[in-house]
Amino acid sequence: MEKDFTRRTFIKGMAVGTMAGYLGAAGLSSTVFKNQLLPQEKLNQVDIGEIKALKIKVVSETSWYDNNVFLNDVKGAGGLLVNQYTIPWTCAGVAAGYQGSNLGGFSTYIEATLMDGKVMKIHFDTGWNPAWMEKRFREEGVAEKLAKKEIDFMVLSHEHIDHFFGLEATLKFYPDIPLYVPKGFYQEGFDFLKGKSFPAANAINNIPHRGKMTVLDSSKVNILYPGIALMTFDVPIILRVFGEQAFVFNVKDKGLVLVTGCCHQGIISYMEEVRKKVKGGEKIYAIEGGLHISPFEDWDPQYDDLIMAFNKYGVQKIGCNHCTGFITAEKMHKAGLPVIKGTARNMTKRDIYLGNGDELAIA
Amino acid sequence: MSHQVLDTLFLEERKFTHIIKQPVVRGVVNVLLAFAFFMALWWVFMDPRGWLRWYTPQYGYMYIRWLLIVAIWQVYIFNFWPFKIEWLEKTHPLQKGLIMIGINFAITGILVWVFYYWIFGKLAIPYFSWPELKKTGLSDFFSREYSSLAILMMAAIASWLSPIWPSAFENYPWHRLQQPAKGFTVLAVTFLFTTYAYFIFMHPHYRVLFYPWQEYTAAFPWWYESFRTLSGNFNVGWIMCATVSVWLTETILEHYPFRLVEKQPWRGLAGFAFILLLAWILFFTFTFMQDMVWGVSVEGAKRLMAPDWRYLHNGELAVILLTVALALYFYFDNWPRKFSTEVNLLVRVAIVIVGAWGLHWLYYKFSPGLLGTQAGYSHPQQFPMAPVILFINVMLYHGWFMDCWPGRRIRKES
Amino acid sequence: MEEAKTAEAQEKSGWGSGIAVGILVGVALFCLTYALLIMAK
Repeated sequence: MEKDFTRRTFIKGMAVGTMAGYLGAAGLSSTVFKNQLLPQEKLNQVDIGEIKALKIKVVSETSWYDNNVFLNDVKGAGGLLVNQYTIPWTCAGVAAGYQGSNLGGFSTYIEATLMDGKVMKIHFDTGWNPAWMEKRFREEGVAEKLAKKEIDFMVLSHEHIDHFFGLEATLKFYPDIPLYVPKGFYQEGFDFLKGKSFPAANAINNIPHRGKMTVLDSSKVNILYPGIALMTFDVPIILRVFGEQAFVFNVKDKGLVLVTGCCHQGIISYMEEVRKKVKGGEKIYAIEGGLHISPFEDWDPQYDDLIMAFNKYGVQKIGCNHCTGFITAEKMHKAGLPVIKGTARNMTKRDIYLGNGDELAIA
Repeated sequence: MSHQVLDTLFLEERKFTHIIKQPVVRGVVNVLLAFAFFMALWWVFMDPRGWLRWYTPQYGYMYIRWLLIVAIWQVYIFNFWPFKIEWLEKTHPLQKGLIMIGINFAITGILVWVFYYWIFGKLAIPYFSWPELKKTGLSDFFSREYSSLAILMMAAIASWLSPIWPSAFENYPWHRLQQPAKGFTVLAVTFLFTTYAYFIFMHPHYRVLFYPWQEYTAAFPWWYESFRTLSGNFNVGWIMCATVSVWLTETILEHYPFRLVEKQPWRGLAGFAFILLLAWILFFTFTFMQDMVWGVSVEGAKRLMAPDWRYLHNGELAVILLTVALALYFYFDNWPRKFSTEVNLLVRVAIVIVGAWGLHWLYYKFSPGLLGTQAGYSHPQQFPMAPVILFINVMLYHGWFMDCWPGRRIRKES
Repeated sequence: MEEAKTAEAQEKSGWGSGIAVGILVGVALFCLTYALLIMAK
């Protein structure tokens, strides 16, 4: 009987001790001993090679004219998680907009000079409103290069409306253009590439893509040519999109240049990934493209975290635009970040960052 | 046991008749029913492919959080007043459920639309009101999102503080008051603390949210130096861990060990301290686990690597843990109960930890298909707490308002 | 009286050694969790 009594209390004590021991170990490991217990960070850098020079032209960074019209479309459809292929995007009836539409689009034209002198011509994203995109392609000479098949390949940064739905404006000139897309495209995206339209979303494409298409994933740094690489990120994105890719160029004597579409992965997350995976990634020379911070002139204290941390990275040139947002650009200028001003032409509303037709050359 | 309870709830006095006799079958049937009801609610109100599509995300998420608080008020603070015990005992659970859930929805709607949008937001702080915020020139969509966020942050704090009084303090020193005097007193006291806590923990978030910074109106986020973010998500994260701790002690932990303290208010204070300690252990442990798996977060980064998202995810992980604990408590009779308290607790804690890993896996595997959400862990506009708390709400409706019928129902004491 | 004291002492000794063993078990279980996390990385 006495033995039973001791055993019973022993077991009780053990139960309490186990819970206390587990919680105590958890509490101490996660605070006092945390630095000792966390595994060391491992760098796994690859050498992507070098290019001689880089020229980046903003073809169109203006994706929608009136923020309120765009946001009302989003709100009416049920918010930021609704599938973009089902939302009746307002296009007509905005006289001051892009060819009378609220919809513009994002596209960048890139020339990268390889070490042997060959110039690689890259068509990066294809915008939203085909009429507007065609006009911009013609104005910047991109249409002509497409028609002559002088452009080496097209890269789609991600599946979003304003980077992708203007596909017809590209395929019209060059239907068999070689194409790189990031892993994460939905079936609708592949169907759209094949010439299927989504009238509910005013997404029309009557020209099937007939060229080679390569889907790139995040398992490695995808080196396309020496000094030209793409990195893919498995990120879930608003309007039911998944995955984005962005460029890493290595310009001789300058350093790494990151060129993004929207950068939904986050610019600091991107720089951190480059630091871990690309040789020379500790120091980024320049950044160009959308930084996806306040695309709707909305805000979140998290974005200030980003601006406050940005200076530590010592980037020398920031050619941002598009979904970076005007508020962000103002705050970045105030924080002393080297944001390059633009010329506010071709329907870009302000000169606070690189706008339509502006160019960034690195050599 | 020296522990003398000052005040008991009707919930604890209920005696049940088991309609489905086999306990596991009863539990599983009830879980499935609750899940079906949850899916119906999600489809009607929230799903981005569904009918009303309020999961924009903040707008619907706000309602979900307030439904929870109002249910706590109804049951824990007002002890079902104005309904009488006899009525609760004799009325069919389905009828009772419809009435109580109807009241739950109505009070939530009145709170949001009358109290926040038309009174507090209109006359005091515009960011609590969708129409007022819109008048400042903000877009309609973000006026609704920002105001929803503020209102739901208030609810996050209330979910931690409002149950503490009935649960840890047993309503001391108002335990002798009759309803509704007791209910209104405890409501007033807990809401007062909630309001103070809101201004300390969440209001600084709004200093930074608007452009330019509202520096004359709100303090600089004081947690920035230590926790590397200006976002109030830091506070949402640990406060959700505290909410979860309250409900773990109330359910699977049976107020152990602080119930060993004999007298109030000391028992309550010990309970409050224990809950806070448990919350911080959960919070730091979850941060540590994420740092292990994804690497240490980076200041200014987004998504998986963002410090503020990691904190929020601590709260999400805690709520997943709570869901398993509540399912064990409501549907599996808080099994086991046959050993000594200490051993019972240990077994339950083990079940809940293992179950939480399982639910975590299930959630991230199946939520895109079932809930219409986007795949992946860190999405800037997606809050797993929304569906998970809605499911918890359904369990509370089922357990509190409907006595887990049809698995069981109240046995009338003659 | 004596018996009660013995019983109390035994109960205490039972508690004490139980808690001690329990803490070891708890810490060991946490180490297991830690190992799982390392593998999940």
